Amino acid sequence: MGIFQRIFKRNKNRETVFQGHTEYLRKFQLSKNIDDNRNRLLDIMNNSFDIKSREFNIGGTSLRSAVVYIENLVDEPEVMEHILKPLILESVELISHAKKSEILDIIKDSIISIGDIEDVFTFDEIVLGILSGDTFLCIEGHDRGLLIKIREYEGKPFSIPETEPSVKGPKEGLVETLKRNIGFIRKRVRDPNLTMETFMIGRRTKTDLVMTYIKGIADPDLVEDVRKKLKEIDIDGTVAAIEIGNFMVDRPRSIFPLIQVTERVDKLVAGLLQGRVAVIMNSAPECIIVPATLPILMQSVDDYYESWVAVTLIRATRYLGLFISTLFPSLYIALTSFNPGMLPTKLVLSITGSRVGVPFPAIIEALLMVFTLELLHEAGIRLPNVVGQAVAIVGGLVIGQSAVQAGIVSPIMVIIISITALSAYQIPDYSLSLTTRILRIPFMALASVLGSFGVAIGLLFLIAYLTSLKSFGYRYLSPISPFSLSDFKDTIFKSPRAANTKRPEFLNTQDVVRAKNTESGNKK
Amino acid sequence: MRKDSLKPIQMMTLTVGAIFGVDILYGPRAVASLAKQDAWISVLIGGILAIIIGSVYYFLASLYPDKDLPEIFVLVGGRFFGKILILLNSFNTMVYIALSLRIFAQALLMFLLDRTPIYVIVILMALVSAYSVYKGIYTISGVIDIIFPVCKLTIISVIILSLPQGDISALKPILFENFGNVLKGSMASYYIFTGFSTITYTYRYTENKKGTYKWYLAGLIIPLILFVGLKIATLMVFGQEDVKSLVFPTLTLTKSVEFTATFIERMESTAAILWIIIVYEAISMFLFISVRNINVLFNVPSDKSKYTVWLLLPIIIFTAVIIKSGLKVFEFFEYNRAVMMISGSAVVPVLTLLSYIKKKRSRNRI
Repeated sequence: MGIFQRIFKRNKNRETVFQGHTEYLRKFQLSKNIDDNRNRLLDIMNNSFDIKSREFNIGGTSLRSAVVYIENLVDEPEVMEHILKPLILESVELISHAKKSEILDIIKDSIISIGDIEDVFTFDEIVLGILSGDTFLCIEGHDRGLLIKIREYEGKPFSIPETEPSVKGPKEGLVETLKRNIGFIRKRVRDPNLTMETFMIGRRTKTDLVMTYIKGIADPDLVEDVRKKLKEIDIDGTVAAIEIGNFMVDRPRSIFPLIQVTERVDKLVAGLLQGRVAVIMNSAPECIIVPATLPILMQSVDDYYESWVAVTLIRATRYLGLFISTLFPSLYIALTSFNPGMLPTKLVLSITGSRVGVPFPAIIEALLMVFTLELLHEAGIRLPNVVGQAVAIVGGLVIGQSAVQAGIVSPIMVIIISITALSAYQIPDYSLSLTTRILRIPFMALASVLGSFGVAIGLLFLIAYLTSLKSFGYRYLSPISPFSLSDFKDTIFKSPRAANTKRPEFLNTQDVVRAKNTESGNKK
Repeated sequence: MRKDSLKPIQMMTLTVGAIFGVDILYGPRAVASLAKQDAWISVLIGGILAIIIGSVYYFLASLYPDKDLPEIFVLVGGRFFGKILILLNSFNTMVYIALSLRIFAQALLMFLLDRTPIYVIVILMALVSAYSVYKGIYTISGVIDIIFPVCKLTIISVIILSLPQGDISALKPILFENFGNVLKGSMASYYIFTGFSTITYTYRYTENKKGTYKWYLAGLIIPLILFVGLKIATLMVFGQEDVKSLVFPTLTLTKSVEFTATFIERMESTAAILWIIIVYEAISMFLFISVRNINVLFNVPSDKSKYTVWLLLPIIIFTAVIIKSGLKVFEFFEYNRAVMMISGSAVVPVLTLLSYIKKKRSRNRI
């Protein structure tokens, strides 16, 4: 075989492995040496910490055996009760008199008390079985193994993601147990390339952390960057994953969220499939996904469950909301105080009429309303749900109405601030929504001093700042800036699925193609 | 993680951004005075000339793909002569930025902020541009990527919406005993394409050089079309006599656009805000050029080079506000730009020829 053919073949094989296929493992037969088998299995599954391998001697004899399983996918007490205990303690009689060639059948038929057991010979069956929650048993001197189906069919209890509700999507949320969260991911991604690396952070708390990514998709530089940053964290203790995330970002003083925080399992898995890296922490019902760009933070899980036309319109509304949430009060101040000529005469007259009797300039009026809004917001969060709603009604209706009647604020200002508040709430990411609330104040100040020129200058500063911002080395506004047409199909606009078959180019993923274009395939 | 680099398509956005400076507000009155009703043909010829000279600039940049103009000056012209060229170029560019800021501030005073002191507008605009330059070329290109469609759509809208108010007869007779004047006007029109020279500064940052010329060419053709469109629209709406006396014809043109009973009734104030963004593009690009010139001139170490912009800023602001007479500003601006363009158009082709011969000789030796 020529050198070029060999290189080509090796690349092709590597590509197959990275694309998540397990068929290529068919050519690898089970060895009679259990160490070889175990090592090969662990190697295929990237030595992820949750792959458990237990070696033991059957029935007190010198016959070595091993079981391999993923701890979060199997019912571990069942493994102990129905596999390990009978094999180690209750098989002495049967094994000691049996011929070597019969041992595996005896174990299968007479020792393990599980209904569904399958003989396996090649690694493709074994890997797929283990990833599906089966337990693999191999015995020294046998090139045949057993796949014992002790899957946890019922699934583990999950929480409902309250801060990220979805209309149509799955309701599975992360819980406060690390192992269980890893099980949720494993259940959804049966890819041997799904890699889990453990870390311990906190000199005093010694908190367990897991960095997870799909090898062959995620950019190795990104993986290395996250790994390095996790290792560098030196803190006495931590209680939330987001705290760890804030330690890892390049610009910790930035008011923009540079990490994505989620408690949804589907969002986490979608992030991994995009080629991003997630960090899950024990005792934290949320995880962080990096890198986080502004267009990513503006996406909602429901965007992937609806038609592309609807999603495009919703996203356009969302971006408009982002703009309104940041700039609406300042634009109002600029237009009414400095540049009324930009508005139609009737509207100017209407605004002026509504402001008659209001003792404050527009900026003070707006600041009063924004302050009241923030008070209501904080009160709503701190109080229990039922009381929180009452506060919102009292605040929104009673205070608003009374303030207008008392002549402290104009009715139009109440409308402006209400629309601004609504716009902030429709931003999918809470931290980003909070950022727009912060930005509102300097923009209002600029508008009150320099009118629309001030707003334009502020906006230019903001855009320049955003374009210079990076999340783990990736430009924060990608793919809007630097512009990438292929990635733009899933940003403000959402193209039909058939046209959106590749992973984001800006993430520099190793495996670029996500789906074969079935639509064009059918046409052929 | 991918290394930061410019894409070939960004050669278009950056070039267009650099060309549309204050000329989009101001536009040389000399063109209308000379070529009269055929001023648009002068702009067309000036633009074609800019494409030809621009292509020479591009060829020079492509001969040294990892160097920019000041470095090429030193490399080809030698240390002494090269640095003199950089010094002259730096002076011209800084004066260009300062006077652009001043003209922009005057336009804004006239159309948007009649009570704001001129230095406030100049300082703020200079600060925002300097901030982008401080953050680097990728930030400048990133901002231009975002504002590019908004700015260009605004110009197209102004042209389309003002045309119904115009009179086509204002363009007639076409080239009737006026060809000489048209040619004279085309030289003044050529000057408005000053920004094409930025290719010699941005080219080195492109990762994939293939296809850059195509996009650069698009970056020259788009302003050409829009400048011709604006000139036709101003001539049609105001007539050749009035155009001569208008200081800011494009801004005045926006006054002719009215949207009866819609959310925005008049366009001039809205357009004035968008001009802020358009002017920002050119000022940032030229400020970046100045910083590069100064860094090469004084051999500023690369780790300190980004701070140069903050040293240049006070000089630029001072130059912008020092001139008392508003009319003098226009005179100085046109004079400085003419010097800039003529010297550039003379020096760069010679430099390109020398570089080409030098490269060819060294290739032959190998």
